[in-house]
Amino acid sequence: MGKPSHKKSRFYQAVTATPALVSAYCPGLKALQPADKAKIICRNSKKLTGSACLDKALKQAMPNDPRWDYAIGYQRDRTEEIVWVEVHPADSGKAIREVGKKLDWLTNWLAGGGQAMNYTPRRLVWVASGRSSFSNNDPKLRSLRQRGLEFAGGHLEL
Amino acid sequence: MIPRRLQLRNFGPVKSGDIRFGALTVFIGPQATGKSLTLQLVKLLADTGAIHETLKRYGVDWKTGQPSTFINAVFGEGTEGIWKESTRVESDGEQVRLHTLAKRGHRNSEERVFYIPAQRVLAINPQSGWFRGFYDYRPGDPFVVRDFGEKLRQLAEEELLRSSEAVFPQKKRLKKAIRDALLEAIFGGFSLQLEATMGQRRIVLRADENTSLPFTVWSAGQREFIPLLLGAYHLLPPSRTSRQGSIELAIIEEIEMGLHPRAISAAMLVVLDLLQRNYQVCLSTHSPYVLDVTWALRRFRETQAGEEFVRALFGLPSNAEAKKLAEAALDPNKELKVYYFEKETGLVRDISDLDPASEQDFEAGWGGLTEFSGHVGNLVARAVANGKALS
Repeated sequence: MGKPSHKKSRFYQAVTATPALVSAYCPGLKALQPADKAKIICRNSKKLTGSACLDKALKQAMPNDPRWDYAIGYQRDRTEEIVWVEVHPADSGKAIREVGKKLDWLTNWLAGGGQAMNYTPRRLVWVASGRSSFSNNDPKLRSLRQRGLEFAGGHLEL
Repeated sequence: MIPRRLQLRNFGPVKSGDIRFGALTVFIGPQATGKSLTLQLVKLLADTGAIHETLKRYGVDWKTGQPSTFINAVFGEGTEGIWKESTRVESDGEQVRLHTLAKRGHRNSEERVFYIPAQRVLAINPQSGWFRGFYDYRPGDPFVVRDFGEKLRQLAEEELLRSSEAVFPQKKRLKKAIRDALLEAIFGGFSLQLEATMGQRRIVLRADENTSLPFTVWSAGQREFIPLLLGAYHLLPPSRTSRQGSIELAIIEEIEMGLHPRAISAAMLVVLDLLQRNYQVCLSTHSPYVLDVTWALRRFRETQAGEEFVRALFGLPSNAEAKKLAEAALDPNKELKVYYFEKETGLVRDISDLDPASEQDFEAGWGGLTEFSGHVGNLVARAVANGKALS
């Protein structure tokens, strides 16, 4: 018997090769809190190669850090991409700064402890957890977009 | 009567729509989705008698037995197909029939709607620099375009020519804060004057007493905005009366035409003034800035923000007049509504909440007005995320 197909995925390999995430791998979107999962639209769940909750897995080791929420593996056409999702309020200018700090944290973590997951193609996405105070053309969002972060509004379609 | 609710089925490109008008109602949507036709229909429903009388006065005829000829006379040449067998129009729950609208003998000729059309630039003849009256248009031009030109001509000849003051800025017209904002953002310090050269009256911009700039050298934004301003003059009389006669509703198409965002913000102050005077206002727009203002006013109301937020939004000073204007914009009784005319489906969708996090893409993307900008931003983000290094 060979390995289950998700274990062959690049995402599975990367998560399990990351010491802090060794037991964080979940199939499908199971790593996501139910409320957060509801914000991800995936029309074909077979394309999901797994998920991991960084926030939970790293809580003990980095309790005061602005930890990123999730990583999701997704097979797009012939390429498997990694989607970094942060579900966070988008209700004030403060939220922009908070998400900016989380992006800094993720960038540093990918260069250090999370190196195995530092691969492309990738997407970095902020999903608003409630109503949004920013219109899609808000210049404040532009500064984060320039740093690689997409703003998906209230839901993300994979 | 001005409809408070308009239900449409198979009217022009609109397959289905249920529109409930607020104190401020904004229509958005791509070209040829029926926004303008719907606004013209509102004018027709509210002012049937006045339209009949004007058409009769200027010798425009139609056959009552062939109501489609009436459609051409009102909406313009070639528009007879907008009202089909399957068309159903309900105004405040009552079905409106085309032959009733076309039938002569409507007694009430009081006008309730003032319409500033998108083609307002046509109101000034570029050759003469003077206003076009009803007869100076092509017979097949839409009624609202011809009527607007005629109204500006009357305003100029019967009111503005009698005053020795500049047309703009004029002390008794518009609030000082609005005059200042328009002067800076649109007029660039020039004043608007009427003058006669070799016996020909014309409207010009003047930097000083010796230099006149005729219509043809105005900027595109000035050419678009000045007819709108004069339309606003019609609605905002200089006397202590706050409103013009029987007019209750002002329709302004594409208020943003030719204007820089700062100038759009100044033009939106005119809308706030209309609202403060208890006019109902309907706008159509392709500008995200107009929706930015609408969105901000909605959120300010929900969060019970003070009038200082409205003043900050428009850069208004801290004086009693500006504060009252700002307070009126936050009046919870003045409902703000936004409708999206969707091309693909022909549906008119209520997106008044304008929530960028809405589950409905057409609401989150403000009917396509911010969707493109958001799409561009997210593509840039994706390119950066996949670049050599994250920073």
